[in-house]
Amino acid sequence: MNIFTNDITWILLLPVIGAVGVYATPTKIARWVALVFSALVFALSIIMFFRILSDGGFSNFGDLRHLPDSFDALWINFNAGSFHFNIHYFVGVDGLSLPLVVLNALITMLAVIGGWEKTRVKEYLALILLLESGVMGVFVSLDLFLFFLFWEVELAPMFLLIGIWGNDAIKHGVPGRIYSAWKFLLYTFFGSVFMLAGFIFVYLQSGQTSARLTDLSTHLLVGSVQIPLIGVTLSLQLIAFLLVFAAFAVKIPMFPLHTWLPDAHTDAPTEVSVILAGVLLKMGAYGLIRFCLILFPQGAHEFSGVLAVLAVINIIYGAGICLVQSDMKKLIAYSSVSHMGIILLGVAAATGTGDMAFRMAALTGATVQMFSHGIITALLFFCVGVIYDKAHTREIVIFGGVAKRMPMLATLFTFAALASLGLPGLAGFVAEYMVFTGSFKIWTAVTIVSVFTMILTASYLLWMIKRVFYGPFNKKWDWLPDASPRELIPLFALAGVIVFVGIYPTALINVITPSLSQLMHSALAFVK
Amino acid sequence: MYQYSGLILFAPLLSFVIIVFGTRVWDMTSRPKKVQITTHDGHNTYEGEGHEQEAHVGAELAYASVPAVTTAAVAHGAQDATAHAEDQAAAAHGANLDDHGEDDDEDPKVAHLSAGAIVSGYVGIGIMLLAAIYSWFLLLSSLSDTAFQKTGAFVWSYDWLKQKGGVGDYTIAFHIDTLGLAMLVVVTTVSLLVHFYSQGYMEDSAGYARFYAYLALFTFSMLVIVFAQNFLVIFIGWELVGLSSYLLIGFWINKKAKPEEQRPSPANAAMQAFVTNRIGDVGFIIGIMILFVNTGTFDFPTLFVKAPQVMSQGLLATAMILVFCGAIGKSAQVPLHVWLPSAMEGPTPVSALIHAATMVAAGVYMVARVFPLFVAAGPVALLTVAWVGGITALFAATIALVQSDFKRVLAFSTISQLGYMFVGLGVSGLGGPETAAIYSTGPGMFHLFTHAFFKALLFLGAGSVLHSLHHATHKEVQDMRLMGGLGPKMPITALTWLIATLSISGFPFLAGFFSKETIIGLTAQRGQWALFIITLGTSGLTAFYMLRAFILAFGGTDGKYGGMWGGTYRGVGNPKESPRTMTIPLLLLAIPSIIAGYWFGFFPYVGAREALDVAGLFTDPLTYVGIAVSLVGLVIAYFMYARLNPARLHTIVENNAALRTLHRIFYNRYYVDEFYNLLIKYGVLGLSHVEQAFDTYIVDGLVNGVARLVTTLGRDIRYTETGRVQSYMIGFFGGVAVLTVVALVLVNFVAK
Repeated sequence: MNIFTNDITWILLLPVIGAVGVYATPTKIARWVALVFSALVFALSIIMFFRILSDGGFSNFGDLRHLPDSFDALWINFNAGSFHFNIHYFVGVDGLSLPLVVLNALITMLAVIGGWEKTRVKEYLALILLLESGVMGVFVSLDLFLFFLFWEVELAPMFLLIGIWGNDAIKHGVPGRIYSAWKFLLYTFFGSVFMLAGFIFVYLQSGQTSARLTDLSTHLLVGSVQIPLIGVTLSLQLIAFLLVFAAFAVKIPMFPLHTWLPDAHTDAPTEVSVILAGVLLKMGAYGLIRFCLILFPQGAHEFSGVLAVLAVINIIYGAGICLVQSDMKKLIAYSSVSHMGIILLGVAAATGTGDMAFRMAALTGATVQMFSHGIITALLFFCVGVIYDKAHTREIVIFGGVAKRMPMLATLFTFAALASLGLPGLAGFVAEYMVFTGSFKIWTAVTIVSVFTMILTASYLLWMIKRVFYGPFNKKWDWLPDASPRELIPLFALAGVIVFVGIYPTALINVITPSLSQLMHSALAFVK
Repeated sequence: MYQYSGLILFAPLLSFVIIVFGTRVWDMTSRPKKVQITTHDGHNTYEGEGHEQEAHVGAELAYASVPAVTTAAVAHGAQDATAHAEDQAAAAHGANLDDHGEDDDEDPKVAHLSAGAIVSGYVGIGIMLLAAIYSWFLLLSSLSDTAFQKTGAFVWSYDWLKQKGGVGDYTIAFHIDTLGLAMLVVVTTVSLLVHFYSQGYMEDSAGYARFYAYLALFTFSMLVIVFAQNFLVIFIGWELVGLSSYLLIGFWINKKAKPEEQRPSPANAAMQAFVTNRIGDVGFIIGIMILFVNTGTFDFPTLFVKAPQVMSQGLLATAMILVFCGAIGKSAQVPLHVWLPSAMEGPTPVSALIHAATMVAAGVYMVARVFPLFVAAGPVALLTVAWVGGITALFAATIALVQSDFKRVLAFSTISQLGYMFVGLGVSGLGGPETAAIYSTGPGMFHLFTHAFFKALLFLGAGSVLHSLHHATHKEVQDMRLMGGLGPKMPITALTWLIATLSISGFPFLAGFFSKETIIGLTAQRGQWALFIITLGTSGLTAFYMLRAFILAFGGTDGKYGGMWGGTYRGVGNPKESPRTMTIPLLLLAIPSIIAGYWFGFFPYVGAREALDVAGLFTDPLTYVGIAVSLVGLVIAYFMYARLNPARLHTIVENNAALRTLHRIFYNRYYVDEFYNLLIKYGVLGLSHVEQAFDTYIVDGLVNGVARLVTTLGRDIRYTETGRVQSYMIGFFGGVAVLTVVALVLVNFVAK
C-alpha cells in the first residue's frame, strides 16, 4: 500500500497544503481556501469513520497491530554498529483516537468560520491549518518518536497565534500576548524534555530496534532501582511513567502545573482559545491513556493513588477558583482545569485496584469526557468570543441583563453553561456520571469529595450567566446587536453535537470500548 | 397497550421540538421589524373579543419589538422610535407612564399575539390533551388488570454501555406500573389544565411561545421521572426538571428584585433553585453510587432483591439517607427549603404546575419508588424521612402564619404539605417488611395525589387574583394587605379557592381530609406520638393560615356572611373576574379537590395490602381530635381576620413583646436565608478568594517570582529574553518540586 493512498496521510497533509494555498491566494479567496481545506479534512475524517464502520465495525479496534486503518513505513533508519535507531511513520486510528481526530477536524473547521473577519486573516488561517496538522499527527502517531515530533510541531503555530493575535493588555511588564505565549511555550517545552527523556529511556531499556508502540508494549520495563541519596527504591516503570507523564500533566493541565492555562486563554484570540481548550488539552489526556497506560501499567498503578488525589485537587480547586473570577474567559479556563480533573480521576480509577467492570466504566467515562469537554468548552469560548467582539470586554460585572438585546446568544451561552455543568441529555453528564460511578468503587473518599464539584460548577456557571445575561438590564448595552448568522454557525453546529452525544452516547461509546477493553485486558489486567 | 404509554412520555418532547424549531421561529420572524407606533385607537382594532386590554400597549409594543431587531443600526433607530412611542403614550395617558416604563422589563408584552405564538399554545394544549386522555384511559383500564398491577409493563430501553456479566451496565430504561400511572395522571392532568389556563394568564406576553416550550419541556422531564426504571434515568429526569424549573422561574429575564417585599429577582431565584437542588443531588448521587458499586446495577427491581442481600443494613441505611437528600432538595424540605419561596418569582401557572403539584412532589415519588429499599434499610432511614418531613411540616406552617405575600403563603403551605407526605412514607415503612406492606407507599402517595389537585387550584386561583389585580392597578400586586373584598368581584375564583382552602385544611369529606387524617392516624398507630403531635398541631396551623389568606383576599370585616365574602377592597382600580380560559381550569380542579379522597382503593392500587379503612376512620376518636384541631384553626382565623380590624390586630401584636418577637422570627423565616447568605459570602466565597490568592501568589508567584529574580540578575548582561527562558525553566522545576512534595506527603496517606 502506498503512503499516499492512505487517508490518514491525507488528513495530515491536506491542512498543510491548505495553509500554503491560503498564503498563495489573495485575501478574498484565501478565506474560502481555508474553509474548503478544513472542510475536506473534516469530510475525510467522517468518511474514514463510516468506512471503518462498514468494513466490519469498530470491534476490530482492539489490536494496534491490525487496525482497520493504519499505515506503517520505515522512515529513519540509523544504524551504528550494534546501535539501531529507527523511526517509523506508523500512523493509525483506533477507538481512542478516532473521536479526537473527528473532533479536531470539526473544531478547526468551525474556528476558520469564526476567524473569518480577523485582521491579517491569511496568516491567521494558515497557522490554524498548520496547527490542525500538528495536532492530527499527535492523535494518529503510534511511534513514540513520531509522536514526539508532532507534539513539538504543534507548539510553533500556537506560539505565534497567541503571540501575534493575542491581547495587548500589559501583564508583568510585557504585553499579555507575549507573556502568555512564552509561558505556554516554555511550560510545554520543558514538559516535553522529560517526555523525550522518558521515551529514550524506554526505548533503550527495551532493546528493540524501533520505538513503535506495538513493539514496546510487548517488552515492558521490569526491575527497580534504588535512588542513591534518599534510599528509596522505585520501579523503573514508575520512573519512566513520571518522566513521560510530566509532559502530559502540563498539557492537561494538572495542578500545580496549570497556571499557564488561564493566562494563555485570557490572552489568546477566540478561535485559538477554542482550539486550545477543545483539542490541545486533550493531547495530554490522550497521551496519558495511549502511552502511559500501555507502556507503564505498573508505574501508572503505583502512581494511581497520588493521581486520584491530584485529580480531586484539580476538580475542586479549579471549581473553587472559578467562583471569584471576574473575566469570563478566565472563568472558563479554570473550569477546564476542573473538568480535566475528571479525566484524571477516571484514569486513576482505571489504574487502581478493584473490580474490572467499574474501572472500565470510569475509563470509558474519561474518554467520553475528552470528547464532550472538547465540544462544550469550544462552544463556551465561541460564545464569549461573540460577546467580546461586540462589547470589547469580558468583565462579568459590567454587563447585566443583556439577554434582552442578545436573545440568541444568551440562549446558546446558557445552553453551553448547562452542558458544562453536567446537565443530563447533554454530553457533559454522560462522562461525569460514568467517571464518578465507576471510580467510586476504586477511590471512594476521593470520589465523594469530587462529587461536590456538581454544586460548585452549577454555582459559578449559572452565576456568571446570570450576571451577564439576566437580571436588571444595564442601559449601557442598549446598542448591543445579537450574534450574526456567521457567528451562529459554529454555535449551532456544536450545540447539535452536544445534544446528540448527550442523548445517544452509545454511538461514541461503541467506538471507544473495543480499544479500551483491549487496553484494560492487555495492560492493566494484572491489577486485581 | 401499556407499552404505548411511551407515546405519552415523548408527546411533550414533540411539542417542545415543534414549538422551539417551528412555531416559535414563525412567531419571531413574523414580528414587525420596524417599530409601529400604535395609538390608543389604532390598537383597539387588534383587540380580541372579551379581553380587557390596557391602554398602555403602545409603549410596550415599542419596547418588546426591539429584541427582534438584529442589526445595530436598526436597533439605534428603534430606540428613537421607542422614545417617540413613549412620548405618545405619555401624552395619551399621562400619569401612568412611570409604571409602563418599568413594565418593559417586568413583563414584556406585545400588542397582539402573532399566529405563530397562538399556534404554539394550541400545539402544547392539543398534545397535552391527547396525552392526558390516554393516561386516564390507561389508569381506568389498569384498575381491573391484575396482571399489570402486579408487574407493570416495560416501555422502552437502550444501552449506553453494556459490559460482560451484567455488572456496571448503563442503560436507559422506561417502565410503567401502578405507582407510575397514579403519578402519570396527576402530571398530565395538571399540566393540561395549566397549559389551558396559561392562555389567559400569559395573554399578550412577548414570550408566549417560549413559555409553552418550557412547559412542554418540563412535562417531558417530569414524565422521565415517572417512567424511570433505574437510578440513572430517574437522576436524568431529576436534573431535567431542575432545568425546566430554572428556565421557568427565570422566565421574566430582566425583572428586578423587590427588596421591600423581600422578593428576589427571578434571575436570582432561578439560580438559587438550581444550586440548592444540586446540593441535595450530591447526596443523591453518592447514595446511588453506594448502591451501584455494591450491587453493580442501577436497575430498581434488581436492587430491591440484591441490595438487602449484599449490603449490611447500616450501609444500606446510609445509602438511603443519602438518596433521601435528593428528595430533601427537590421537595424543599428543611434545610434546603429556601429555594421554593423564591421560586414564586416565576409566572403563577408555573408555580401551580412545578412548585406545587408535580415537580416538588418528585421527591416523594422517588422515595415511594424505591420504598422497598427504605424498608430494608430499617428504622433509622425511615425515621429520618419521617422526622425531616415532620419538622418541615411544622416549621413551614409557622412561617406561613404571618406571611403577607399571597403566593408565599402558598409556597410555605406546599413545603408543609410535602412534609406530611414524607411523614406518611416514613411512618408507613416502620416495623419490618411485614408491617410495612400493610399500607406501603399508600398514605404518602395518596396525599400527593389529593394535594396535587387542591394545591394546583390554590395557585391557579391566586394567579387569577394577581392577573385581575394587575389589570386593575397596572402593577404587580401580591401583598394581601392590598387585597380584600374580592369575593363578589371574582366569584368563581373565590368559591373554588374556598373549596381548596377547606380541602387542604382537612375539612371533613373533602379530599384533603381523607389523605391527611390517614397520615395523622398512622403516626399514632405506629406509636410515633411525637410525630402525631406535630402533624396534628400542624393541621390546625394549616387551617388557620389558609382561612386567613382567604379572608384577607376575598373577605373583610365589613363583608357578608360575617365577613367571609366581600367587604372593603384595599387596593386601587376595579378588579374583575378573570377570562374563561382561566376560570374553567379552576372549576375543573375543584371537582377532584372534593372527590379525589373517595378513591378508597388507592392503597391496594399502589401496592399496599390493605385499603383505606373508611369505617375505621370514622370510629377512631383520634379522627375527631384531628377534625376538632382543624376547626379550631379555622375558627380562630375567622375571628382574628373576619371579625377583628386589621389595624387593631397589628396593635395587639406590636404591644406584646413575645408576640412581636415571634412575629418577627416567623416573618423573616427564622432568618435562614440571611444565615445562608452570610455563609456563602464569607464561607464559600472567602475560601475561593483564598484559593485565588494561593494560585496567584504561591503557584504562579513561584514562577513569576523566579522569573523576576533571574531577569533582575540577568539585566546586567542584557540577556532579558533568554533570561526569561531560564527563569521559566526554574519556575517549571519549582512546579515539579511542589508536585513532588505534595506527592510524597500524599503517598503516605493514600497509597495502599
